[in-house]
Amino acid sequence: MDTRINKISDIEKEIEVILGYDEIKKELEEAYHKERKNIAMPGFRKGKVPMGMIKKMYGEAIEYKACEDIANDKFFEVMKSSELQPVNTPSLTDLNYEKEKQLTFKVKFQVKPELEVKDYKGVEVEKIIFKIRDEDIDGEIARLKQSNSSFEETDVVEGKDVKVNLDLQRVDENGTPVDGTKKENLDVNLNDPNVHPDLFENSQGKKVGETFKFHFVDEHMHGEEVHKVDYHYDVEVKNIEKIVSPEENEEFFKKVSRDKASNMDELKAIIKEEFDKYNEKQSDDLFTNALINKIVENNDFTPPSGYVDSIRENIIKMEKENAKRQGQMVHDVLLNEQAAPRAEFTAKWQIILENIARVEEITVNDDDLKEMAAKDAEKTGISVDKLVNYYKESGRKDSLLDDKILNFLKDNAVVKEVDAEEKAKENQEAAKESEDKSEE
Amino acid sequence: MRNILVKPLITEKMTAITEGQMKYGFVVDVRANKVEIKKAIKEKFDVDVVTVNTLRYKGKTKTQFTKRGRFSGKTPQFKKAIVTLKPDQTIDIFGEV
Repeated sequence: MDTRINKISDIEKEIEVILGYDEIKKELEEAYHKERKNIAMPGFRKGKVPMGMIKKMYGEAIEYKACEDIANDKFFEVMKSSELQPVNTPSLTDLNYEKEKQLTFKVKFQVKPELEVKDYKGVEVEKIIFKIRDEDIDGEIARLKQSNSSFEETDVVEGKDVKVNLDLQRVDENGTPVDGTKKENLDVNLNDPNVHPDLFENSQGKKVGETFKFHFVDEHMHGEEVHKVDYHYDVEVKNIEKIVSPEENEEFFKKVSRDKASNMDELKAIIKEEFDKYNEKQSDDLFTNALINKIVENNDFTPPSGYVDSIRENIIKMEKENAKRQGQMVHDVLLNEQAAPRAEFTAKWQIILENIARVEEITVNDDDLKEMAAKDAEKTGISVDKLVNYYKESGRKDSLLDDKILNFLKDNAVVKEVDAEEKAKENQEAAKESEDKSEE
Repeated sequence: MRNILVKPLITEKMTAITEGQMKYGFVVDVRANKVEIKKAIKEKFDVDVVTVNTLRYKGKTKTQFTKRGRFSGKTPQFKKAIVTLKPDQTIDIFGEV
């Protein structure tokens, strides 16, 4: 077998293979025997037609089909030995069989390009630092208190800490009820900031069985026009319950902290710790995204279209599965449009990652897998060997390699810490400036 | 002038005979005799015929019952010739298909 690999471009290659008749004879005979089983002809039982007759009548078609199969097998054989990895579906461009002499074929395919990745070390990236304020912790404690509060029946609506059960009947401007617009047994917490002020004020002092009126204006956009709709309601109070906040005692602290805190200071410390963890993760995620964006920006190139397409298909498949799980409708054209830039970015980043790994000689060996397996074994109770085998089969090795490269890039980045509030102010000012400019 | 050789006899049984005994089968004109068949084979395939065996088949009677009554007919009669060639001589029978 003579093989030649031609480079068409950085991302496209062509493989040319010449096979002698002796190398393909066995496969051709097998193809004839296989086809013979299915050929029927008058005068012969199925599968008993003489080989000479089959060759005469169907020889060309059988041999062409067999040659295609041979080309397919040999192509992947060559790919394996040359360690090339096609990223799209290879296309057979030229298949030529000279009867009982030789078979030649050419296959075109795309590969990931070898890049000279630049500016990936020492990249200056902002790391947004979120600071925890006392108000945040107090707010979280208030939320915990509210979700653990109890209710006591009372006669009259007084103040904000009240839950009322209401029947709402929409009426027109003359006070006539509108058919089919009655809503019954609505629970409303008056301490909810989203409750309409008119509803809150008009309900004050009311007792069970009493009614009051409530009015609000709904404003919404119809294209560029603002539409205003008046809503009038007759409201009947069905039930009144006072919201009783839990006492700040040991029982409460233990309940909300799952037995980790027994007083206010300990609870605050736990909440602070959780906020810290969440903020650190968020900060790290934003930093990682910014770093990736910057490196991709520094290394612009056109990724192989076949690779981008396969990533896009995966994204679309994933999005469709997610939408199906959540019972949402999917708009195919819109989804395709949204997935296209994401797929291109992911393809670029993946190729850059692989090239950095090659240049920096970052690899994942069995020791790395064992180390990860040892950590997971403690959590899951599954043996290390089993986990290592699972990682090898499931492609976990690739994700571990990605993590290793990403950590390398993070270690080599120049971190510029920025306060989250200051950054938000900066963004607001920038947005305002651009708005002013567009108005001018 | 009539055609002596009508068509080669290509069936599973005849193929087995050809492969085992180097005999070839043909459907021939019912009026043709062994000498004429031998001559026709020699002319067409340029081979020497040692023996010719012939078999005559009478047409089968076929009956069909319809609303209009019973119809009777016959399938055509035909003659088979099994020819034996001199050793080492062959006929490319599938070239005739």
